[in-house]
Amino acid sequence: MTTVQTHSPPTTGSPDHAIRPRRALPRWLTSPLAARLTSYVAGLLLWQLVATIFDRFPAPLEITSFLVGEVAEGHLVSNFAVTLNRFGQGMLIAVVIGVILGILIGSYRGAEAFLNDINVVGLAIPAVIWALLATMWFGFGDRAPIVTVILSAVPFVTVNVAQGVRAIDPRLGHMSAAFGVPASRRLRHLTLPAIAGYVFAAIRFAVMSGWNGILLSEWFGATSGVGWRARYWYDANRMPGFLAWVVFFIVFMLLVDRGGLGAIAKRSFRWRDGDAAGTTDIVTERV
Amino acid sequence: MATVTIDKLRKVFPTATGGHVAIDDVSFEIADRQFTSLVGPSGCGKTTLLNIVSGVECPSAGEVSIDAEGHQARIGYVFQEPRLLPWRSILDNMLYVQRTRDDATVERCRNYLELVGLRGAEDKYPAQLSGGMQQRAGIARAFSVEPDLLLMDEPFSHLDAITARSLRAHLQELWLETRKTVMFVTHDVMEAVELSDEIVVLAPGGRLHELIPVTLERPRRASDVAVARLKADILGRFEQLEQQKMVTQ
Amino acid sequence: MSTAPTLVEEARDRSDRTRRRLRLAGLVVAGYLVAFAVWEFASSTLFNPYVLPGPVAVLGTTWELFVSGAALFHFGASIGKIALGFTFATLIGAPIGVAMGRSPYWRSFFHDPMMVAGNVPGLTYAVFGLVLFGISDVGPVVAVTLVAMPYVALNVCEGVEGVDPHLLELSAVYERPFGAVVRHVLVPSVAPFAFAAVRYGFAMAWKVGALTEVFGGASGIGFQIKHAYQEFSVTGVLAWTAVFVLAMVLIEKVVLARLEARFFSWRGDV
Repeated sequence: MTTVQTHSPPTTGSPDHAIRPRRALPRWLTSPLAARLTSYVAGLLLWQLVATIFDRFPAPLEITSFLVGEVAEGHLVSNFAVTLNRFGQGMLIAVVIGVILGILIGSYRGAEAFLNDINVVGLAIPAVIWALLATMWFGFGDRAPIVTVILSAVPFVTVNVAQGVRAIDPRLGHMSAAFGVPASRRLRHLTLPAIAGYVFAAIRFAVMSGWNGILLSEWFGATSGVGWRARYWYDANRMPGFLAWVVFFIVFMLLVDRGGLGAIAKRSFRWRDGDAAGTTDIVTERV
Repeated sequence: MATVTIDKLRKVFPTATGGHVAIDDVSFEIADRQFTSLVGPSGCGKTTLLNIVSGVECPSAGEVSIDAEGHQARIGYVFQEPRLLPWRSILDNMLYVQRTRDDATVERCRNYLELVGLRGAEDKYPAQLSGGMQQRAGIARAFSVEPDLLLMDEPFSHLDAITARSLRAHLQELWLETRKTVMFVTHDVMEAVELSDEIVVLAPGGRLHELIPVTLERPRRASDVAVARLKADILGRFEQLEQQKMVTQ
Repeated sequence: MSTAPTLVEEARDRSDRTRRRLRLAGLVVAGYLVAFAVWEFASSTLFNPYVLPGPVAVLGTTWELFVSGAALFHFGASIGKIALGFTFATLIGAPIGVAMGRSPYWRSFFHDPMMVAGNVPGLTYAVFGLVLFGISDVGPVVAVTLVAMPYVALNVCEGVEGVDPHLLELSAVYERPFGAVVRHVLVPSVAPFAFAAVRYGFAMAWKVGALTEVFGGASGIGFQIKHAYQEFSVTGVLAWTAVFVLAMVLIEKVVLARLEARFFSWRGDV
């Protein structure tokens, strides 16, 4: 007698085979937005915990009065305006210099031999040294912060642009040579568009470095700006004031990166059909 | 127009183990307005020879002279891949390699695009065109500089058979209209018989094996009996060459 | 069956290559010489030797630091804190990275905190290191931990995401035990990314560690820089900066680049 194997669904009601449906967590709790919000809440709780353990570390509530006060008294806008003005000037110069150096290093072995080691040293020198030196050389005023930004940012722009130049498809270069395209046209139509994406990645990293640099420069030797204001509270021994400015600083960075730089980077790669430039958000330093 | 004379050409590439001879004492001539194919298996130095003729590489010994009736020869080059600037439109790609940028030049570029059947694609980006269309643009680009000498490096090898056949027909038409001096590299003997006036056969190691004139009437179609017969004949000789190679290795 | 290159041709190629290498080496040397010349000019003419000591004075002092063993001692102190910081960063960051790689919920959860941690200016760590921990070695270690953690987390996350699912399927089909899967599939896939975190995060960690030492360290290169600054010795500051830069460049070029080559050799790409 043949036995027929059957597979049939388990009978309901039996305590051994019943499938107890798992109550899934509601959507609003597990969505990405919810995850982010939860992380902020968790972050605040963690902050409060640290503030409780270390009584010199300001608690979230302590700094809110400072946050509000600085905004209300106009200190936020005025100091950010000053710092951004200096930062913008410095970054503009740094990008121009960095792109030129980067193209030279990436295109010519000779230029690479001549300049590369200096650039490596430039990448290695911490921003605090540039800030100290610039203050000694230029005293108080706008020049020291601007020079600090330039010195901190140029190596990053250079290194990334050089990488971009090396990444250009050599076959396009060969095609240009075979057709005898003059160097100036090659620069305009081949090199510059090809490295555009890398220039934006470079700017992102340069901004991080330059922003750190200007903060330090203003900390040591300025009479206005974000760094100076943070120093003001530190000297007055008001740690909540200091931390409030750190918060302003970080929030600004996040907004700029989210809003401005990320979008520009994507657009510069438009012709590649939506291929994103950098996938990591964090600064990577390359030597 | 141009005559190309290759005289005792030799090219050695330095390698870690001594040196690799890419071209070994090759001499031949390409007459004005002649379509010459270079045929041979991989590693026989065809592309290297083309690079030397175009000036991108230097020979180790020997000479290549291009006589273009007094002036500096203008050279057009078609590659295996289209090699278009991906961030520029097709028309801009054409203009990238021109000597001048005036209205006459722009008009000329548009005409050549039309000749290869790409009218309407001038403002598109390369990524928006198919592989065959991109390669057609590459061919139009080479013709549009109105070269004295046209160099082509296996331009159809990366295309599917159907597209390749269509492009070969386009190329024959264009060539019959303009009668350029052409140096055409291919590993496909069929292609060479269909298109050329003379076939230069290179052997592995960069030696010149033989020169085969092709005197069939034009326009030629792949389906012509005479063409097919000649193909079979030449293929036979290739098979012999391969047999010899296998015996002596 | 090809004729070999002639002896004359081989000799000519060799001399071409040697000439090219000499030319490049010459340019490297020229680069250094020009840099020192500019430095000397800035020191003696543009500014003055008090505000900017010339290369001879600074390099001389740097040499003395090495010879006396001070450089090595404080370098050891600094690098020890970096190593400790990275260890903690890995212990905290790797699990975060794994969570982020395997679950979209945790990815969204941790993304912003990691960004914040990566964007906190070094000055903040430096000041709070001093304020919370006083003059001690704890501040720098905490600073390095917090700075390196996002690198580790993000890189491990990428590594986990990049584990070839086919390899995991294969392991399941052959019923390999979990420990073996971890050892032979997960760790080799993730290791390069963990290493990338160290490789790229090192420079950042080195700088932040030094900055924290400048403000409130009890030993290390940053501590020596602060010491020199307080004694108004610009030469001292620059000499210790030179030690800092040399150490960083050596570690990056010699240690990390070599390890990177070893780690990435199985990938077969550049």
